[in-house]
Amino acid sequence: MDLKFLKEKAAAIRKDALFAINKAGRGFSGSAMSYVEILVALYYGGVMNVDPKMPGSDELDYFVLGKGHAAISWYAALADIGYFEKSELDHYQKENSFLSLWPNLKIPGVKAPVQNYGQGLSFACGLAMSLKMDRKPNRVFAVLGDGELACGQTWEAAMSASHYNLDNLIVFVDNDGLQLDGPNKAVMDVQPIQDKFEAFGWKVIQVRDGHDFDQILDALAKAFTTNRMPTLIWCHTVKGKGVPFAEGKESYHDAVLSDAELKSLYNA
Amino acid sequence: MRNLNLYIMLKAFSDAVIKIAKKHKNLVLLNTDFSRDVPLMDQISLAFDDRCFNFGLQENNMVTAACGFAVRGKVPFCFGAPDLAVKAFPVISGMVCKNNLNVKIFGVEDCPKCKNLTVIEPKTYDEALEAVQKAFDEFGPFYIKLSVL
Repeated sequence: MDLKFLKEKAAAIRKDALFAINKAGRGFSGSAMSYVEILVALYYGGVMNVDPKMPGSDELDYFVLGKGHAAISWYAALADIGYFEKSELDHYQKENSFLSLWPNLKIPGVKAPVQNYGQGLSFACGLAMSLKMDRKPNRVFAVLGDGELACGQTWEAAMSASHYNLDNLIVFVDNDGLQLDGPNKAVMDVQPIQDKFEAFGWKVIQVRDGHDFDQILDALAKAFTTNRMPTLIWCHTVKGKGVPFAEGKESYHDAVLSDAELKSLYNA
Repeated sequence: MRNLNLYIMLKAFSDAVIKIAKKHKNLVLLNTDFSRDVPLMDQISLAFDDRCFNFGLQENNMVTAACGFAVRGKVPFCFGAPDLAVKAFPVISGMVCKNNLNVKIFGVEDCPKCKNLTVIEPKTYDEALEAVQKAFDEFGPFYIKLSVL
């Protein structure tokens, strides 16, 4: 896999997402940055079966975003792939635009309208169960935020995923360690993530650097050989990654970068 | 009398499900540890085992998973405790109804009002049969309140 290409895509998606949030005047810049490499590995790394010419096809893989408040990076990737015009990003969250803050079914390429924390994994389980029921080979990929691991429903879903041996379900936890009110450790400690998911019957693969494509793709290769159990890829990430002054800062979780900040980043 | 009425309603539900499931492979049955209270459930399970899923006591998880089934063209029938609609209301309102998904909920108690949600309250065996069939035939969220007098 061409790492340079993947890195360029990640940088482009970050830029598109940050500008869209700036234009909207509202959004979650820090949160949208932390899972970009996971997204790029899935959509551009030859992992997911995607085709913008058949957005509603049941033959493709499914992507579910649990941390839907950060969906703008996903939208930027979908626009870049060709699901809709890139200019639509300028209307993010505007009246009459289909690009709402949380994903909805009107957006081409979106099949998972998860609009609340804690529901992403349940939805992904429903998709994975129905695919297994039909004996279809497609997979379901999901990205959860670490903050939503505090939701009880996430653990209901974790239990049902292993109960139904959903080996077609691969879930990433974007573990940047920060949420709106501060560090997870102070707000509601979600660790130890690995022990908890293993106790629920999952295979857990740890990725030390969730911004390293090699590590993410290696983890996915291991996940593909898992049988009769769901896989969790626990990614250590950095809030605001790619924006030097925002990296690792909880204050940028729901920040909108100012024109001056964007100018300093891109000399725009 | 209440128990007899409940039995009649659930029997109508079972009879309708068997009839529809034989014809339509996209009907799936999701329940929360409640299948033993449904007459003929053993027959349903035997005939359509691959389409029956028990979620234990996870009402919110079941209805959210049902949405996953629905976006793939399945018609999930969700049933469980009498107050299922109240327990799973955050998902019924926030996901099923908001996105107008083809999910059908069955319960005994009232369901709070919700945009896009069609509510039917059958009072007799025949009305219940008709309501279940209508819920399957028409697209969108349905709540069937199996009335127990």
